[in-house]
Amino acid sequence: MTIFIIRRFLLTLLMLFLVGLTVFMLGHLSGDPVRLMVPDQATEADIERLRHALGLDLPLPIQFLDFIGNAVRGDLGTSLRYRQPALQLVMERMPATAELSAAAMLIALVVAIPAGIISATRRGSWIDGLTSVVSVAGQSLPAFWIGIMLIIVFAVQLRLLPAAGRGDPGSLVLPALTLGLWPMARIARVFRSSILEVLHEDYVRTAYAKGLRERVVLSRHVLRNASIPVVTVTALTFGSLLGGTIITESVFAWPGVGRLALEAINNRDFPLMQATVFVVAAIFVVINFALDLVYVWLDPRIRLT
Amino acid sequence: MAAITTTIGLPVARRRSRRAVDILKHPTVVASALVLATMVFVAIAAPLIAPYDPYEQHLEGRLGPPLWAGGSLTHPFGTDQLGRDVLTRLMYGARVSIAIGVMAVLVSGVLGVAAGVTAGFYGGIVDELLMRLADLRLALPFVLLVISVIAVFGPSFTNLIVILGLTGWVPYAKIVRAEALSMREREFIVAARAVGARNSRLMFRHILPNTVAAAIVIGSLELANIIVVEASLSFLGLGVQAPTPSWGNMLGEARDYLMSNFWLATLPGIAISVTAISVNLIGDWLRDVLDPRIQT
Amino acid sequence: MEGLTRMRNKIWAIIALTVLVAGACAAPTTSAPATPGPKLVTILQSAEIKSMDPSNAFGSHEINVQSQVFDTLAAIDPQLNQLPWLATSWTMQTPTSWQVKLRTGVKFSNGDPFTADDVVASFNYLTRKDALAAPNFQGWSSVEKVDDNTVKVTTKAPDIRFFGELTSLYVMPSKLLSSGAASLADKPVGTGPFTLTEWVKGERIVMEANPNYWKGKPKIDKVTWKAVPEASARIAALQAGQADLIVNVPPESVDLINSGASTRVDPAHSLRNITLIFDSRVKPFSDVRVRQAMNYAIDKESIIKNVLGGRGAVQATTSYEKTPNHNAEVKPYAYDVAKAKDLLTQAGYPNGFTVEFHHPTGRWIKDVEVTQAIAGMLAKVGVQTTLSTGEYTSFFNTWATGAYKGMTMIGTLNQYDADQVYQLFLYSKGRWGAYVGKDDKLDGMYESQNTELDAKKREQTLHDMESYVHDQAYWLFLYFQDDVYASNKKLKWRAPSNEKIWMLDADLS
Repeated sequence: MTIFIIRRFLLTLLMLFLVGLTVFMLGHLSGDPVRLMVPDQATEADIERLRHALGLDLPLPIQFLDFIGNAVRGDLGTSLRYRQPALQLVMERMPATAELSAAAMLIALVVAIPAGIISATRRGSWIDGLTSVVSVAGQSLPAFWIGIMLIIVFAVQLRLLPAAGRGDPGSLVLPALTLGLWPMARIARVFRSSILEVLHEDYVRTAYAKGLRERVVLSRHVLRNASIPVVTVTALTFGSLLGGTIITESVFAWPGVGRLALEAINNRDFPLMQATVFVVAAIFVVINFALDLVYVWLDPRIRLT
Repeated sequence: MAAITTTIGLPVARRRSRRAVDILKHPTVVASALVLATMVFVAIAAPLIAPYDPYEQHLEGRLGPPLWAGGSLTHPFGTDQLGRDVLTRLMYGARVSIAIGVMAVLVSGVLGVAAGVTAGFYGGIVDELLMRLADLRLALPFVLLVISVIAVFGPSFTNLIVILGLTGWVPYAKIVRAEALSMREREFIVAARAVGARNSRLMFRHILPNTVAAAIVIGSLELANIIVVEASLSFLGLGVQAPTPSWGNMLGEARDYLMSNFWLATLPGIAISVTAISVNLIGDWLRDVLDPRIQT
Repeated sequence: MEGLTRMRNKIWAIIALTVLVAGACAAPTTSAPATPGPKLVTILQSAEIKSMDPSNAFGSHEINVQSQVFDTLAAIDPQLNQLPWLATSWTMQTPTSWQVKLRTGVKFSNGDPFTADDVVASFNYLTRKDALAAPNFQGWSSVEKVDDNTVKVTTKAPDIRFFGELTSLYVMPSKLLSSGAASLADKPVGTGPFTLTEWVKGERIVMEANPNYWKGKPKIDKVTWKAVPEASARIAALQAGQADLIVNVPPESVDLINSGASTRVDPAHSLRNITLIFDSRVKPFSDVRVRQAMNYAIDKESIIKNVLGGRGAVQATTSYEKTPNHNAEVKPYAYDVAKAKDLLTQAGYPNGFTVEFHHPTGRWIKDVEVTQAIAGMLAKVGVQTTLSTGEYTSFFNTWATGAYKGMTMIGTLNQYDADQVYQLFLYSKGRWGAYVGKDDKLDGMYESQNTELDAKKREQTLHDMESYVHDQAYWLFLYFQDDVYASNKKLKWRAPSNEKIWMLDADLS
């Protein structure tokens, strides 16, 4: 088990390194960063001086090592537009995004888990039908369209909730609903199908054959085993939610990392763009590592492998 | 937004439901197939059946209402912000949206299947490398990644296909790899190897055809995903560029008119949703028929 | 039953884990409920504020917020009246030196008195090398203190734009500038009508009336600024009473807002001049007949009427009718397809040609639609366009390097004097003058008016320049857009023509 954890930990470090490499290359694909930093009346000599000062005239591998070295020390460069440390800007926005993602995930789980259980155990019931309709729709409707429709209905027509922004009570509801629909659909689907899979396992049939009551079989055998894929999907979806908030945040003017990222991209603010991609990816990698630990807890058999 | 696949904890037994194979017992699938067939027909035949030129403007007749909101038969779906016929643009938009979806799925499907078969068949270091690459791709936030790359290379029809294609290979690779892994130990492969068949021959003749079913299922579900992603990119101004109509950029352009001309955003929104729902339902059905183990 | 409980526990554990992961990266957010003051105004702009430091203002949305906190030496009000402000008078002593008298008895929000030292320090800070505001002071070389209430400004050459520079000089306290100017970005200290009291980054900026303001305490007690990029979300918030003033209302929503019981549209003619700048250095636009043909091919009236909802004024030449030294004699190019075709034929393009057409997305009112409408009209005279777009910052940065071929949509804001756009866009040695190519006659006229101290003679030269540029058609002259704001009917304020929201004399009834 220790070996399993150590192996996973090393893999996580490798992933972080690769994420760094990708992010670094992304930044260097985006044209000459120096030219974007200088005022437009700058001379060629000014540009060269700045390039030298920033170390951007060094060979790429050396620049990359510098980048990784700085990243380890928590320095992801300085935003061109804000003229502040990029990492600090990303972390300033992280609470808003985390709050939104957590709320979205909560809504998703609260709906998806019972829906998954009921639709798997009562196949063909109206709840099963509703679940499959909602989950197909949840994966098929563009999030921004849903967001805008929710604004029109709840903010404009009914005036129940704020249309945009963060801070007012209730301002979290519409964006969280918009963002939560997709994971809700995914989790309900995955949970339903993994329960169905487990229901056909021999040990479940045996349990039923032994005459155990359905409830007992469900709770003792089925849900426990069926929950592993759900944990996986939940965690991974949560990780990708952080990146997927861009659209929701821009519709609802939610001051989070997604909007910051979009802005950085639009302004060609490449250190900030690198920092957002890096931070979001790093969180995802760390969640994955945590997930591995959860597997060990949920399913002792994994310890043996 | 990436489709995340997992093979952890899946039972190995393969079942095919007879019920699922009989398509006529699934009215929703029949309906979806009809919708999709219509969309594809419209997309292909747009120049022949569209009532107008999609770029023809009539500024004086802009924002004409659709038939059900007081419009006339000359423009049954109304006109847009430049007086262009909305029905015509939806038809041409189907071309662009479906073409991007299909081509991106083909690119990522071919890449993903190739990677999956290679990883599964050779195993060892090749497998390890490819799977780490897949993990890396999954670790990078999909929308953020695609947007950054498009911002760097500029939005265009070709770039969209290339970028969405290159970033979408992982689900295919994972499923196909699992398939190839189990296939490797099957009797007919072991037998073929025993009689001296070459690796490339084994991969192409025996393993690849057996993984096609899985790839088709993933592909159909990914198609829906990409149509939605294209719409989202256009909403952010990073999709197909004006004046080319795509459902996504029609929706994006309609943003300013949400409060005043509701249908301008509603119609392409419905087109996207209906298509994506149909594709998803067909994909689900295909999975039930072909390979119920695949999770998406 | 026991199993079920255990299962429940597991589900809760999963949920708790999710929340914990979120919590781990989330710092606690403090949202202290605002104590309701008697007169509160919430303003929604479309873009976010990065910095409160006036030396790094980027676009009018930032200037709007900053100028509530900081005062300038002179000001232009929403009706374009030019007013003395922290400077009470300025007199030219030699052609290149001016004496500026400062207002007395003014205090910064931290209690420091306002003196000549602050003006000198602010000038030096605003013109430091990496300040975005530095180009606003191209004509000035130095500012020196004479006594506490007087400064001497030395200019590089006779400076006929002296007033413009006065309106750009935001006054910051010298003590702060010398000890830690960086804190200005977050905690601004100025003499302005409002004082910043709370800033939740990305969420809201709250400012309260300055009780000691030298023009008297503003009637509004508290102003909250937020950024909402989506126009429909801004309108929704206004309708729902969550905002009192919003910017950039799309023309189609005007009727909707005006028909609301508590909402109203406030339009203002703007100095924002939307134009297409040709690359006149190379074919086909190096030929004046082609440039004129393009001007004849566009139905400006129809664009204004149909795309802009009737809100805009056709442009004849480079400046707005209220801009000082504007030449009112020049008439716009008529819409004349036959003449356009004729000119193209004369120039050797009977079947037209294909050109690049660059434009930004979402910067000016309906920019994307106007671009497409123009492309449609040009197609009717055989000119095909390849549209290329980008977000404004990168678009403008690329254009500024001289790299765009064909034609480019640009919006200029010309408020101090008719020569402003020449300095920037049409003088070949000007900041972005490269696209004109080399026109010695125009350069000569520009240079002569630049140092001409006789106002009458200078006016004549500027009039000549405006009619010359019209005839040479270096631009495809389009229109002045109207800025459309919308507000709660209870809000008393004046919609500005120069994109600058004034709150100091606004009121709520």
